[in-house]
Amino acid sequence: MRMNYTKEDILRIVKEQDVKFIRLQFTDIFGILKNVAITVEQLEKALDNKCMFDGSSIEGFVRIEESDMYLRPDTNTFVIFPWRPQTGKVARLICDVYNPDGTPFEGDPRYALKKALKRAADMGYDQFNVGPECEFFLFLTDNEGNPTTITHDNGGYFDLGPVDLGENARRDMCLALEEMGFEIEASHHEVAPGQHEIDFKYSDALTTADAILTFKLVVKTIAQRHGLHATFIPKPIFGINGSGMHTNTSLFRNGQNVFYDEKGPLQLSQEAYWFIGGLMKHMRSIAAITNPIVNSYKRLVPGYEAPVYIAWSARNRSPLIRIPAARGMATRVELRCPDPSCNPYLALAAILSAGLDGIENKIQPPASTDKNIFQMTETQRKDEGIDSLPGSLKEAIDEMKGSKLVKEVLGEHIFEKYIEAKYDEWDGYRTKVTQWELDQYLTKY
Amino acid sequence: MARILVAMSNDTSTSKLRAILIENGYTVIDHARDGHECLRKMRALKPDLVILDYNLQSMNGCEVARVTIEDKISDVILIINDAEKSLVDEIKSDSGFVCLTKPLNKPGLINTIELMVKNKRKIRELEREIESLRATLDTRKDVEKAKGLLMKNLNLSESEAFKRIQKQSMDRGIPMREIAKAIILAYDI
Repeated sequence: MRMNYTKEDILRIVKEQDVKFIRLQFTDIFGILKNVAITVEQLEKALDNKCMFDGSSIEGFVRIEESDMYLRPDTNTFVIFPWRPQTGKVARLICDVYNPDGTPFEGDPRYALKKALKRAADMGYDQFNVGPECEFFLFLTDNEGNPTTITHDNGGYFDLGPVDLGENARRDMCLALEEMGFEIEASHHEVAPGQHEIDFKYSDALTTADAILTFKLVVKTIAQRHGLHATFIPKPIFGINGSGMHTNTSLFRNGQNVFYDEKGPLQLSQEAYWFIGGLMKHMRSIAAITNPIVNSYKRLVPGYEAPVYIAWSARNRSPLIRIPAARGMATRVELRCPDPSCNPYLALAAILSAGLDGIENKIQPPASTDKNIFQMTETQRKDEGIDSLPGSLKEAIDEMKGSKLVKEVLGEHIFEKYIEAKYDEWDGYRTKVTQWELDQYLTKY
Repeated sequence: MARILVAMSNDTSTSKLRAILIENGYTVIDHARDGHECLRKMRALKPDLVILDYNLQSMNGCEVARVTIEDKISDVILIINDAEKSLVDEIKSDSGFVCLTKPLNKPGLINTIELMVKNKRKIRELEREIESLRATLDTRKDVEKAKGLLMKNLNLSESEAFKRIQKQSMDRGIPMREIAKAIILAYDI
């Protein structure tokens, strides 16, 4: 989906297609998409990297006194939104954030990913491919347009029943995504009622991170046009499966997949094992990035196909890291814990760096766990040395706080702001009186 | 007869309108109270026409109308008051869209619906006709090209070449266009 556009191409296309507005997009450190909308007349100025905005108004960015930031559009991310086909088309460009002195801004998540990719390139890995599997829920809205948690279907996994609203919406989502250059590989109803999954083709990490943002925007927009609300929160309803974002990763050197070794055990290379080792070593400290909200940890509980324990396997589907059966160029490592509420730039940067650290320090992973971990007793798990993912956001941030690797990946700026904001978030949650407490205690005491 | 969906936040207006429509022989398939509900019902029930009030909660009538027209779900009558007129300029030009200003009068409304239904039928007919003409034209183009190739490469006359394509098509039970395409492809390689 990444095109190679020059500035001239974009100016020409905009004119030919009668585009009226351009949205300059970037994200805050939590992965929330921000827009600066400009008219087509200002486009040339923006493409010359002269577009300025007030950074102090973005959460986790900067203080008032250093608020002027510049947006540098990445011309290869230019795309016209397929909706609003009548008059005044809208296009977007994803931007990098720069300081007034022309240096990249430390608080820009896209820059953090670029740094991580640079490090991989320095180690000789010229491409890091990522294929995400995004799940989401479609809910009805109430009379005022507020989302509810009521779904409109009772379909299960891969259901082919009579066409329901969600299926219609999902089809339109796929069409819109395809028009925007996505290659859709699969799209189906997921396990839970109202839950859907759309998979698009893997690509290099930066393109994929951009695509995940675009994907969420498209899904939400099209859902709204169908009178539905799409949500990416990891566990909207207790008692049914949550939404994950399984992340398939592979490393390339000179066009060759370095995870594949015909003669290696399970046909995996030494580097693949070290990569897995690194991931497992750092998993607890990067969990706050791959699973960043209070709700994330309500998904990571036994019984709903979500991983809980830090283990890997080439056979069974329950552990954190799975090696899908495909080999050769398609050899990949699938990390099953991230959820779609994560900031894709930071999450991919963290995953890559953890894996690279494994390769650099030759961290051998423990033996694979081919049994169902959920059926093991605690002692058995202890004997096999199987650790678990953090049980709450608090635990995850505590882990992250002590990690040198994460600090290095995120850069000091994001690291500090992130931890501060997440502790705030946790505090906000911790001090609230929930319905559960009332239900449990109100009559008892 | 046309199937109509009504979307109004006020139940009294809905039942009044519904009564008028039924009186005149239309089928009111359902009604919606807010914009999102209207979109959901429209997509599920596929009405021929939807009558929208501008003042809908969750998404106003104009927004709903815009999505409806853009996604070609149904024809739209949007009921507005004078002050809201300027807000709907953007979609006004579409043939499947009409704005009616309050207060509504019965004959005016019914005439409008009648006209829209007729128009829609006409447009559908024309679309179908265009579609079939286009298909014929495309077939002819490919057959002409294939004929030319056969004439040149096999030294056939025009009618011989045509007969050969026709015969292949009949023997194999494959449309002439497919045969023509295969011939073009074969000589292309």
